[in-house]
Amino acid sequence: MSTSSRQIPAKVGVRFPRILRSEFIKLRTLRSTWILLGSMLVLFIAFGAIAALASTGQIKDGRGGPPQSLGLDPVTTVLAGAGFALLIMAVFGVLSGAREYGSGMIRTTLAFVPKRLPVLWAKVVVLVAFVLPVAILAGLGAFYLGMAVLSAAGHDTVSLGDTAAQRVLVGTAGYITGMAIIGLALGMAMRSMPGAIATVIGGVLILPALLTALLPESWRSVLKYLPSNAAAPFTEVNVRVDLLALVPGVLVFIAWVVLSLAVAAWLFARRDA
Amino acid sequence: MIEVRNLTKQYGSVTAVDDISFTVHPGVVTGFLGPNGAGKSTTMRMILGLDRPTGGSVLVNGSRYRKSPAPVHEIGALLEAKGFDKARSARNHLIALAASAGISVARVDEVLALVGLAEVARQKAGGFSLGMGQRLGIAVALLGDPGIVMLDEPVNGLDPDGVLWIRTLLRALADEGRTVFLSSHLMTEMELIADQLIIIGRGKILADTSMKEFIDSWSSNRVRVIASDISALQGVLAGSAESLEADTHGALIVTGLSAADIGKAAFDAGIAILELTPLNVSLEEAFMDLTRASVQFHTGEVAA
Ligand SMILES: Nc1ncnc2c1ncn2[C@@H]1O[C@H](COP(=O)(O)OP(=O)(O)OP(=O)(O)O)[C@@H](O)[C@H]1O
Ligand SMILES: [Mg+2]
Repeated sequence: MSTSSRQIPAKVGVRFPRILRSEFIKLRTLRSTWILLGSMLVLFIAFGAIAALASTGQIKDGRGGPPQSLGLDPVTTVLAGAGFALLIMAVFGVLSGAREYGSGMIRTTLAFVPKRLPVLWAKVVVLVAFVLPVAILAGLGAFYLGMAVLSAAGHDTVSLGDTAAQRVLVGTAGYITGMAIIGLALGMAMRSMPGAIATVIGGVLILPALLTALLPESWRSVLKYLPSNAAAPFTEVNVRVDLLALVPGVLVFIAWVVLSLAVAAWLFARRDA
Repeated sequence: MIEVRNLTKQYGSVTAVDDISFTVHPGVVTGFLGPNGAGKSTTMRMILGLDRPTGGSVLVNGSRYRKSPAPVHEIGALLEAKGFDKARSARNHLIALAASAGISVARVDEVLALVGLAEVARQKAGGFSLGMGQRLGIAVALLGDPGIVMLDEPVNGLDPDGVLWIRTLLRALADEGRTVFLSSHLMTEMELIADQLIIIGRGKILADTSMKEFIDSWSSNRVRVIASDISALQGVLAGSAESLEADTHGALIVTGLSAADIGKAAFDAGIAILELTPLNVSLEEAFMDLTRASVQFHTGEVAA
């Protein structure tokens, strides 16, 4: 029996671009990747269009009452699907972090890349490469379709030249991508999809509301540092005085992303695989 | 070559591997034998740097595996747990892994053919049988054309054809000068594959020897004889046997002579042999004797 003669070509060996390629192939070859990205794109755009129709009164609520979303500015209206997109991409992040622990694949991966940390960085880069373009595309799609609906109904619209619109579009894509990275970090750290999904959704949706209700008045100032509130200055059209300004908001949100990655990296490098 | 030095691993209060040292040499098949929970898989994970030793060290070809510039060209490993994603096809699984090491897709197809999965390579690995999954794991191990092949219970789940195939494969790999290290809890399997034997029980090395030495040291040289005239036979053999003892059934237990020697001597003395039985301890029994004290999960007596 021949097992082919031994040749270790000089070109062979582990290098970062190769790990990147490997992680890219791993994500590309899972159907769930395309399902999640596709549903993010579709829901983001569809929700915006529905919200635009509702605000023009073309879709009435069940009782034939006044149009929904009335009084919201056009940009907020057409980006109504951003929250959904955020959740889907957070789940996508968790999946790309925790999935290999569920299958035991992580041990195979680390047998190929025993230095470990490059695997995490490659996963982050590849995740961003998948999420960011689709998030931008979805945001633009929702914007154009939504504005077209509003304009057809003779409502006020906003052009892409508007600085607030630009800030919110770029900010939302960045927020979605950042939450996907936090999801990945949690997935790697917790090694469990249900646990990490619960944590990321709890941290984004439930925690701010819960703390608002529970914390004494004097503690309220802490709330603006939560990820979702830190993101508000660059994801919402109206600037809220009780929250951080734009630049501090961006920095605090980036700090959350970096912190979650640092914890994940620290654990990943030290724990038994 | 794998050099394990004073390796220890504790999981909380459990000492899975207890200060073990051994060397696995190239050109031979080394069997790593031990009952369930002995510490075989833990040792193998530590060799790959997947689990961090509590103490001691492992050198792979003279250096730490983690530091190797081309790890999978040093060791190709099959681990205990299924190391693949069910949703991905076998071929894509291999292509993704190969990419990280700069291994070509042509090599992926080569190993798929080698392990007999070429036909099902584009099917999802989740649909694979235990044996097919095992073959996929072996394909991963061979992907980097490694100098060391380390397999944790490779025959697990393979059909007789598959078992024969893996024996032939491992022999070929060793003959090419590679280091072959495989674990099993079956002595009968090891007997057919291994040249060297490392036996582990409760995290400690119980034997580190060649297969031949192990067989020689455990196979007894005793023969049970029943003859027409036992006392006459005793007189005939008294000079040449190491010891002679009568057992309770009127048979004679002869130590130090082969069955053939005894038969000829009896024939020359005109004594009829009625029964002549070499009393061999099977290797499985020898292994069980050796590890009995260290077996963690004793089975209860089956009620009669
Ligand atoms: N990750 C872990 N956490 C805690 N204990 C562990 C872990 N891995 C192994 N052990 C314990 O270490 C001991 C050795 O286990 P190991 O899997 O290495 O044995 P083994 O020789 O491979 O057994 P088997 O033949 O059943 O595969 C067992 O007592 C096991 O319960
Ligand atoms: Mg085991």
